[in-house]
Amino acid sequence: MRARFPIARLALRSIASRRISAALTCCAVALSVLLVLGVQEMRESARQSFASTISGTDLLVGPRTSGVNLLLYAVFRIGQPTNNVSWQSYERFTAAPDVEWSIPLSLGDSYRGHAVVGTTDAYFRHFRYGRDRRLELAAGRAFGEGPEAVLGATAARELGHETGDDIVIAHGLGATSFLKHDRHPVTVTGILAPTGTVADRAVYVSLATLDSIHETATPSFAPAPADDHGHGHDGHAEPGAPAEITAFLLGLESRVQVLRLQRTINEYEREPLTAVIPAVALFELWSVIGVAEKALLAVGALAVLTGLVGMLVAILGTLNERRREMAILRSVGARPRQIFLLLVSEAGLLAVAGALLGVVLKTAVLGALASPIQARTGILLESVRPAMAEAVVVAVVTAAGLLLGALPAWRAYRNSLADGMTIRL
Amino acid sequence: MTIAPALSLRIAALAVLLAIALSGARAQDAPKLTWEEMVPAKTSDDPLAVTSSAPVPALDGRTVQLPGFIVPLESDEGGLISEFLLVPYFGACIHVPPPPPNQLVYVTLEEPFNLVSLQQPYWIEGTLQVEEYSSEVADSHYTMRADRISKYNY
Amino acid sequence: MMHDATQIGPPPVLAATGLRFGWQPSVPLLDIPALAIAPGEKVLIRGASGSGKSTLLNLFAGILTPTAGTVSLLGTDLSALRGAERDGFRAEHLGIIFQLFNLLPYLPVLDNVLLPCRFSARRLARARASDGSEEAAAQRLLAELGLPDAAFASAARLSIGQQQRVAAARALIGNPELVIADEPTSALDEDSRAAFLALLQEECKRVDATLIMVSHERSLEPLFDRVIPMRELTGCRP
Repeated sequence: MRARFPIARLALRSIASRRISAALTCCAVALSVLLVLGVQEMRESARQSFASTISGTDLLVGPRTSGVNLLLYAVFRIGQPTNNVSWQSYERFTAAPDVEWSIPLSLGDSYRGHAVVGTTDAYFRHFRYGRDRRLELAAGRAFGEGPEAVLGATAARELGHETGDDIVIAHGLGATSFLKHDRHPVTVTGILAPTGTVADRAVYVSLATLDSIHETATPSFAPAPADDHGHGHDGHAEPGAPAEITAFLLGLESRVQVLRLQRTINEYEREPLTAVIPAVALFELWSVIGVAEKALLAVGALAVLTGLVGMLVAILGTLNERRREMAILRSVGARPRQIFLLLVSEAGLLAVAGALLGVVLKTAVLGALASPIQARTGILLESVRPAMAEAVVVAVVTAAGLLLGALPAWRAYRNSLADGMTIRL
Repeated sequence: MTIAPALSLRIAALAVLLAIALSGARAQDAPKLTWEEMVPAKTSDDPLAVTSSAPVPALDGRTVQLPGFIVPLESDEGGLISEFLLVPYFGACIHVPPPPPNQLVYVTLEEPFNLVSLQQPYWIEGTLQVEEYSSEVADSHYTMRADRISKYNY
Repeated sequence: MMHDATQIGPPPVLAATGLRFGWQPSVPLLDIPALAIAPGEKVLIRGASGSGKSTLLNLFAGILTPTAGTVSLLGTDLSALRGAERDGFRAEHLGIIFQLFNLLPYLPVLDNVLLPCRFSARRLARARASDGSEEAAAQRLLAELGLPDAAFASAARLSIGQQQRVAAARALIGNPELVIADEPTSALDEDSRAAFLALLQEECKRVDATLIMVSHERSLEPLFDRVIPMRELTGCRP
């Protein structure tokens, strides 16, 4: 009992007297902890958001491309579609006996930085996310026959729109475009409830609306482009239907049929198509990202180690000048073991303080970044089991600090045994 | 003095045997099923007769262990797989024709599990069911609610 | 212990019998057939630098164990104790003053003085018994040593003379039986030396502590009851 008190207080006083060096060491440790925890949290949130984006869909069909690529641009809206699917193919497979529902998707347009998705009301009836959750409207209703749009929750909030507002849609995917469809404003009829996925960031219109806007896109003085961005103006299969779409989703009567239908679509002779099972493509995507994730974690761990080694060097550097201090302590009755404990405690205190500071920094930094990150990527940074990861990291960093602190502590222990009370200075 | 130890020894032995029997009964693995057994036997010797793609009705309700590859159908937010198709060979999506309905099982899980790799085969244990369909839309096929999943070791 | 059969009195505070010590077995640095210091004595061990004075003090304090023979403090044979026990014994019964750098720079003066009370329950109890609280005891000692307002000053800011006096207060708190001082005045100027010693001896007397001091200063000899030349204690007979 008597042993612990003096040592703990001595350790605190000792650190306090070397305030600046201690603060720097703490900061080094804190920054590395911030890195590890920040990366961890962003990883978890991204994974959650991605994994929840699509559910209950048996097949995603698009032009011939890799499954992961199709998933990325058609569902996550990352990357550009480079080719399209003909409306005939869409209709042919929608009519297949195994298929219960289908959702067509037409991508490539944007409204002030938010993707415009051309689709039908089947999207609102059949699209699921998370664990089989339906899309819900927070306000208003789905679009109907006329020039109407539904906004995702984040899109509505960022653009400051409410139901009843008029918006104008531009060609291309950039934030600005110089071909605006000025004469055809579209009315916002509904706003979706937040989903925490990329669905929040989009503007949804009917295929007919999208197409009718493109009909009058070309300015009169320019020659009619043969095929601009895949929104073809020639040869519609039916009046009112677009010639091509980007991709479509299929839901089957029985999930067991999925392999057979997938093969049929992949081998369709009339058009090169790819049908992919979203869960499989997602799994493959994670395998790729998983490697990067592990690398990031390894880097984070190394950063923490570096911070702690910095602390070790700082303590080792002062050892020589503290030999006098040790002699004094020995003379008043401190045991060599207590000298050891003193130095280990100092290291442990610095490590724990640094780790806790890192947790605070992470909370502050991610708190500040949460809105911009959600705005840009749709990922919601709400911590997944925050206490666990943070507690583990703090514990590990403290343990590592104590372990590393044992090195100079051992030196000091041996020194104090050898020196006794007399140092020739 | 010799009677009491002998008696208690016997009781102890009996207890041990009982424990083994009980635990053995519980931990006893379900019988292993092969994919060949899931196809009805040929009714004629004619080599040109087509093998039926219908499930074997007798397997309905049997608790079995089946090895196979996993084709995920549904995953949760954590990336854990909650529904999948169990197929007898890898590449059922790409290289060779997809398996007929009696050579795949639609499996659902209480507890979504962490799939290591699409190329890793697994042992799935559970009660097989035969879902009857008689429409042009879907064929009868096997389903299973899996109790246990373990990695297949070559 | 060899002593006059007629000398019956209180047991010696420090006794060394057949004490030998050498860093190498063949070269004895110290060789003391018999030494006894009575309670209340003020002893000066005088010798030049490097003559083994510090080693001797380390032996007296129980930091080092003799190659042969025994060192007894208050009747307890120090070499019979284990390391930690010797450290504890030192804390309980000994006050030590160094030549320089006596104080922990990161503690205020008061905490420096109180250090022995943190490592010895007995000294803590005695300090409380004499003054009500250990802080009060420390304040009193500082006042008596001429530093009434120094308690919360930073130890690093004091002059050498002030530091030595704080060291004396620390050595004396909780009434240890023996105070050992290793050249405490060597860093002081001529005028301060005598003053410091006077204060030190007065305080020792007040608490009935025995004082053993080591120094090379001949001029200090008159101030002590007994002077032991270092060469009587070393293995190298000149």
